[in-house]
Amino acid sequence: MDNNEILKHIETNKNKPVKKSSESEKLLKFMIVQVNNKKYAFFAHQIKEIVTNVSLYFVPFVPPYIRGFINRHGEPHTVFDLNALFEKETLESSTFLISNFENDQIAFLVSAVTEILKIPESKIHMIKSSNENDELFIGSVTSDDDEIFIINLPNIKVRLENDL
Amino acid sequence: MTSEYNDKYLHEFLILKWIEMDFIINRNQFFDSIFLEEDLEYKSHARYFNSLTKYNGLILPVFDFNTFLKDTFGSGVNNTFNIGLICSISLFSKINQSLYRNYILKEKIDITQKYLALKINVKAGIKRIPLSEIRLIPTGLREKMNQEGVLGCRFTIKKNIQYFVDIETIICKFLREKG
Repeated sequence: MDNNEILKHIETNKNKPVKKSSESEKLLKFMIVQVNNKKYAFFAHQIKEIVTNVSLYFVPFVPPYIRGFINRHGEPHTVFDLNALFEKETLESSTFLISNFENDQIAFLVSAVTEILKIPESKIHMIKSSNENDELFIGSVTSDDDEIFIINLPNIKVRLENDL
Repeated sequence: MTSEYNDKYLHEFLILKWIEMDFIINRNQFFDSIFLEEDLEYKSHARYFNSLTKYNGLILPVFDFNTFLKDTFGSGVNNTFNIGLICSISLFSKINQSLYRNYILKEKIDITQKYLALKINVKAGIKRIPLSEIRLIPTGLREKMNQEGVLGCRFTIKKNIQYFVDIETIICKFLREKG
């Protein structure tokens, strides 16, 4: 291909989008968080904010995995402790993820946010188990040989409804 | 605190000032208050009704709201002086008025069906609060907490939380449990 051919090619294709080799496959974005010694994944679009060092207020009449309310922009947000939910031990931390639910104000207590991952849809392993805890996960993704479970936010809300 | 609503909707509330959190009660739910100096102990069928007091020649059962708050919210208060808020049973819903009458009949002592007293700590004050500053409980917990008598909350400038509580719901829950 000489320079004229190169220029002709550029001219012909200048308005066409460049097709990358991976474009044929959809990439999904995940927020990976550390909860005690375990990692979990959230769909990145489900989290709108990460906040630290805000007061956690006690709430009565709730299961142990509801740690209380935090005040975010004047609105109370219900704080879920994933370690208490999955491991039955409360987590000591002051990092909260504010979820993007339209009809509820929910936050998650986590140890830290570790990374943001873009993963091809085909690399997500869906869960087809009937185990009670598995219903709280949609599936898993693999990162650095770690199998990271993806939190199923709607089902966590259902779990709370059932426990109240 | 910013507000999306018009702050002309002010309402009077009684604020109970506890250590970790405060509680707010609608001023319309009581009409008078007395010092509880000579309240008499008695054993009731209903939890937290553990003393009697006198008001205008009538004998009233006293609901120990202090102990209820301590048991439920795990909070404390830096004062040992108590007062009694006088609540009229006629302001209760018809169902709850009937519930209260049944409770009085079971007690088999001469106490009035008209009023009851709510024992609270003296560290309290009445304040007009814009309704726009009171927030509903988040959806997932709202029904449960409303049933328990917690209707909403308010965050103060001092970064404290104030729970908006309904005394009729709270009292009647204990009458129903033992009824």
